[in-house]
Amino acid sequence: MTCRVFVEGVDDIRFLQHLLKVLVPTFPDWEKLTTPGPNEIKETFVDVGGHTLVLTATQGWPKIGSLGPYARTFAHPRQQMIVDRILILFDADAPLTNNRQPCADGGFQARLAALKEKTARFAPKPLFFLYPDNASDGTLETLLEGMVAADKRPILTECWEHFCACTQRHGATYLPTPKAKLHQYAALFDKDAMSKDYFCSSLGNPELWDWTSPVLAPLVDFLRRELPIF
Amino acid sequence: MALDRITVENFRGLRVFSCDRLADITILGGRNNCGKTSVLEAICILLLGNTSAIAPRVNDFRALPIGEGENLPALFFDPERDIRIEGVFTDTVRREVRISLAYAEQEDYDEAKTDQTLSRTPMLRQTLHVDNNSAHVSDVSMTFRRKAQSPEGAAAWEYASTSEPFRKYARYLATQMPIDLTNVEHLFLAKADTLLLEPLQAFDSRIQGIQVVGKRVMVNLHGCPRLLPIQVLGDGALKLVVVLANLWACRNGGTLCADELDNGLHYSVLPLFWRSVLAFAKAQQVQLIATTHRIEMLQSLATVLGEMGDAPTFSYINLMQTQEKGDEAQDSPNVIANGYSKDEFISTVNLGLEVR
Repeated sequence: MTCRVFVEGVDDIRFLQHLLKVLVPTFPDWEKLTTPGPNEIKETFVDVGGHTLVLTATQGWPKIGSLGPYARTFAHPRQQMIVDRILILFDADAPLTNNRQPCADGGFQARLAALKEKTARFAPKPLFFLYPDNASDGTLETLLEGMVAADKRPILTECWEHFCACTQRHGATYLPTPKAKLHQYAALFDKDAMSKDYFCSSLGNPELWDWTSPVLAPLVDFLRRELPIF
Repeated sequence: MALDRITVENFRGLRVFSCDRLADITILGGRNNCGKTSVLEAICILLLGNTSAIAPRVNDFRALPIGEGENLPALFFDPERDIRIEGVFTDTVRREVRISLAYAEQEDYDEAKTDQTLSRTPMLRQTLHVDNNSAHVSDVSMTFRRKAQSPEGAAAWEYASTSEPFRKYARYLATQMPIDLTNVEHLFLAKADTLLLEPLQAFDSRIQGIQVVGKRVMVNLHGCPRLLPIQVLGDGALKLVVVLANLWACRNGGTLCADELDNGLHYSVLPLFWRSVLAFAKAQQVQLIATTHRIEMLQSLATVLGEMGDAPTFSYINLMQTQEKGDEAQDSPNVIANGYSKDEFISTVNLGLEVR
């Protein structure tokens, strides 16, 4: 079976590969992915257990609407096949962004409805999981925050909140994004982690990230139910 | 009246194939041997189905001689079953062609022998049905067969056609066909040659004029003191001439089917080629259905479609063989049509994604 999994960015691909490696010991190690351009869609494919997974990073959710025919097949110099199943793992987001700007169709219910409308002509019909838990508002970063190692959680609560409050007192206008917050967290323990790929490799560090965290349960249940590789 | 939908059964390598997204300009893509040419041939049989000669003629497109009929079984996915080609035109007219393979048995007479042997000659039986809004209009039954061969007589084909309920003009440009300038001559006879000159001059500014002298199409090149046969032009310019002349031949509602439209064209002239072809097809009201393999062809088409405010309706169809899973049901598709609308095609190609 060939399964195409749409995610938003390269970080999402890396996150998913780490998780699948934890869940399926035979899942292959990933190769380096170059940083995509602003208008570039990245994809990587993995053969595992007689099935093919095509992980496709769309660089944001709005582009998904025009990718219906593309999603249906998988063309690669090595193999060409018809996609049997489509999974879409995107952020639910929230009605307002981190910096209190309106977010188009943000929030679990609104985003799910918008995605269903944009993918109405997809064949096969896609299955959705919206981060963090397919029920709440939030993003992949919300999920990652829940996976921070227990002994280091104060860094993201006490230290980070004090840092933000302090910068605002000194005139800072915009809060760092949740992604920047997590990159900074990883960089505290690895000087290379501010680089995108190094951040992704830091996900494999059990001293920083807890891959047994219960916040992963809804996603794991979804993947076990819908991915053919289990 | 454009062909919107087509279903092909038991034809060439197509067990079952169906596509409901044909447009004024339709480009077929896909790997070798996925059935692109077969789809074009099926469309030709459907459009020209009121002449029984077309089904055997498509073998000729592939350099398979019509000859004794031995190549007729090559038209069938399964010679034991009928070919069925059904099309719907502008949501109003449904047309269906059915072709079956039969064998004419005849005695071979040999004076040297006292016993006679039976030989079996393949022949085609073709039936055409046309419905208008599901109301049956008429049907035409034709039998295309070879006459019993007399000892001294050459083989002769015979067919019968009772009526022509729905005429639709179509032309087919096969990959291996030699350049045929007949339609260029016709275009001149109709005094429509200026339609050809302007795009050709944009293609090569040295071209000052074209004219027909006797039966020859001649070109006037800047700096050259005499007229030259148009065949001296490069393959790309000739390709443009032939495509435009055939579009003109299909004007006012016809369809041009062109296999490997890109052959002979340098990548730098592709945007110009597409601008000329799209504008010409729209002005002459011709449906163009073509195949291509080249990504530059698709990229330039996406650019030109994006630029044209009044572009004709467009569809890109990527053909793909389904994976073989052992015995398949007779009615299950073995080739699927993955259709892109104009907007989907432009955005996907512009994202650098593989659509072939």
